[in-house]
Amino acid sequence: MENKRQADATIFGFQFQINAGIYLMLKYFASFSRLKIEGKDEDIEIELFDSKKVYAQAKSKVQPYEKTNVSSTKFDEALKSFSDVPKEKLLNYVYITNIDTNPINANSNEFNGESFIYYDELTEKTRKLIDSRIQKTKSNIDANNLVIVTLPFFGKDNDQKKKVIKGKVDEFLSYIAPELKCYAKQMLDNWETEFLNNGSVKDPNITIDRKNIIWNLIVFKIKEDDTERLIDTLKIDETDFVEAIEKYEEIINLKQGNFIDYNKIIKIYQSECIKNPNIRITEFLQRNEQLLFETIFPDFDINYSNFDKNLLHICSQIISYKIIFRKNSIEKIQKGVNNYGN
Amino acid sequence: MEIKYIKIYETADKYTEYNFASKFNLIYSKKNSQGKTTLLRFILFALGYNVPATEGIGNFDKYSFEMGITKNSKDLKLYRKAAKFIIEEGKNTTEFTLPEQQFDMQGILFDVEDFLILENLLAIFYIDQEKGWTMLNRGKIIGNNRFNIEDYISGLSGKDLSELHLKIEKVKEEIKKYNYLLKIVEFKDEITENPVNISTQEISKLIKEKNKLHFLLADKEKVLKSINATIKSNHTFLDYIEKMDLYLLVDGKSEKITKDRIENFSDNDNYLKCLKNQLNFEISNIKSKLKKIEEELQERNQLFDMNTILQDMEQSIKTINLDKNVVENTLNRLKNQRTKLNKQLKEYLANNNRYLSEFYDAIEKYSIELGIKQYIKNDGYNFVLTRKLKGFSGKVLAQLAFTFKLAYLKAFYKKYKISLPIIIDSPRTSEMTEEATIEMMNILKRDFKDYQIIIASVYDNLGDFMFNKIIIENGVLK
Repeated sequence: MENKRQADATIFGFQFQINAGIYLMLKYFASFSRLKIEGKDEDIEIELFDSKKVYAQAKSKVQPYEKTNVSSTKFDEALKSFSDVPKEKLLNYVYITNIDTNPINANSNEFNGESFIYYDELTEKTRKLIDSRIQKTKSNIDANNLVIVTLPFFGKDNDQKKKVIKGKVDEFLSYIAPELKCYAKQMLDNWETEFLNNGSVKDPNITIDRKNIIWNLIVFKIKEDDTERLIDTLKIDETDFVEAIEKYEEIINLKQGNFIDYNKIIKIYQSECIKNPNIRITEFLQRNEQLLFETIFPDFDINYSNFDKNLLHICSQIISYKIIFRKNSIEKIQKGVNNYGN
Repeated sequence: MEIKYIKIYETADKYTEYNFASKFNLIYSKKNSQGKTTLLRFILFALGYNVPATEGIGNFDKYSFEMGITKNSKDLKLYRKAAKFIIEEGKNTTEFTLPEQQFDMQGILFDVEDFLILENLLAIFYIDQEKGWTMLNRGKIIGNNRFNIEDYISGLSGKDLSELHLKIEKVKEEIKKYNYLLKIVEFKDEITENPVNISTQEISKLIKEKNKLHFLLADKEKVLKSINATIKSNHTFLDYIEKMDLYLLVDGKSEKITKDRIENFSDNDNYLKCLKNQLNFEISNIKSKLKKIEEELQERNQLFDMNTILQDMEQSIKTINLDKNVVENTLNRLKNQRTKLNKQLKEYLANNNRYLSEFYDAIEKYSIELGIKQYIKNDGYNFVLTRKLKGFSGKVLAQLAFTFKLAYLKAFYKKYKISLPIIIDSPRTSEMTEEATIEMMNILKRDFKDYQIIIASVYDNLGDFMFNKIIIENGVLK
């Protein structure tokens, strides 16, 4: 029984560590460059744009509101660990815990729910406690670099447990592209798996990069591509539209991923946008229907003569729409990410 | 009726034409697989029939056909392209869509109104190289075209027997089901009353879930494969450009074109790679779910061997409220009904239908001539309706099939006064000797001299004939 409880606590601890990693990534996202779970020195290691480093220790309790002295012990362990971290390029030591009302057993009142408090913003009582713990544990750290973070994370029910972190993901997505908010839960699941995988690889060079995160967002954004709206806006016969997709799905997938087609369609679109900056995608498709068809199927007479020409025309509209939608989505997400936190 | 020519158009101005004489035509090639059968099938297709394509020719829909025919001293032109069919007579044209209007069109073409005749007409004038030589009175002719002698007789006599056939089929079907039911009832009476409670429902639910996941997995793996191929082909293309060592002049300086400097490439590439990662993620999720289900199934199967499934089945059967006597009674009643209906049909066909005897007379006459009379002697008129084809050798069956065809043709002529063109594919089939083939041909020459005959064969010695010989070499299209 005792063994089982210990095993459960270990799993819970790792789960918290992963969620703490996601939380800190979002918190530092404006200058986030890469992250490692189970780094060389600490539980979570984050590198920012200017190579500045954030080292975090994640400490959790399955029942965070049970009164014990565990929080002091855990904090002492964290301080000792921070001592060994290289001091150059250091920005913050982060002590992150799910014990959200009394994280370091100081019995002060500045912590409640989610908190992110720098050392110099803490109450005097808490600061004094921290100083004494640093002294007692003989830790070699500058307290001014310390941040205490509390992140509520408890409960048997998953939704309850991840309520706060899910809220952070919501907030993040709303800023970057509000239409992605509906994917918050899925995104969190994805990140959890990715962070978990990262934590299980020992190599410190295998990290979660800003680029990974951004492209993940882009793929979700592109999932939003509502090709069916072409039926109404381009006045395509619905039966033909469905038939084109069912019959030629492979061609559509192939052409929209093919670089040559991708590049040509983007170029035509960009030159049209120079002439007419406010042009809508559907209007562009309508105006250039024949040109797009000839660009995508220049070999129609040779390789596609047995195909239904009308359906291939519809395919060329769908392919062009998907390519332009994708290009615009990439730009939109990149812009949203670059503005985030500024 | 006579076919004058057929033109097969590959494009608007490229076509191959074959002309036919009003009497004997021999489509001949020294070797097989040169296109004889294809030409015959082109003729059938141009007459509005749907026939399977021959190897190497592909779908007939890609060709256009023009056929000239003479009917009652009038010239008609038939045009067919895929489903579109036109009959042109002088200045009048009528258009049809096939196969929906096949029988409307052929009704006009052959001057036959009766649907049952039209439905069975192809077997009257066409002998396929395979099925034509083994089919006497019922079955597939070619493609989905079928023949049924009862329907043909119904059509000729103007009396619709299809309702009677339908009744018989229905009763037969019911008898089959009641026979199964009887077995179940007997089984029910046999089994002892042991309580069995374990249900297979949960297992079946797991299996359903497993199948669903397998389907989903296959779908995702297919997409993944295609994405991998696209990523690879994009990189191959860019590598190729890099290897070409191309330089751009920018402000007087020459700069090498490299992969990382080509606009839009990394966007597209990153997107595809990310999509690939997500798919991999989804695939591994599905796989782990599948593993769980499989483990669970294995665990349950250990508890739940075939024996318990049988017990469960017995339990269900026990709950069926059925009395053996009731089932037996119903079964007997149905069997009586079947006998009565069959008798009714046979009596009608045998006693009141002159066509049966006409068929029989013709079959008998030609069988004597071909030396196969001994195979039909015991059955009398009913032989025309025989279902016993087993025991005939290939040669006898082919000759019998031939005599049946001649009987059908004669009856058709008698009623409609139309000589249909007789189209025969490979008469020297199924161990047929030259002598036997010539005997069959001589019958045609003597008794069907007013008919146009089109024969395809690799043998050109078919007797003493003046043939219009059409030689095919290296394919039917020139």
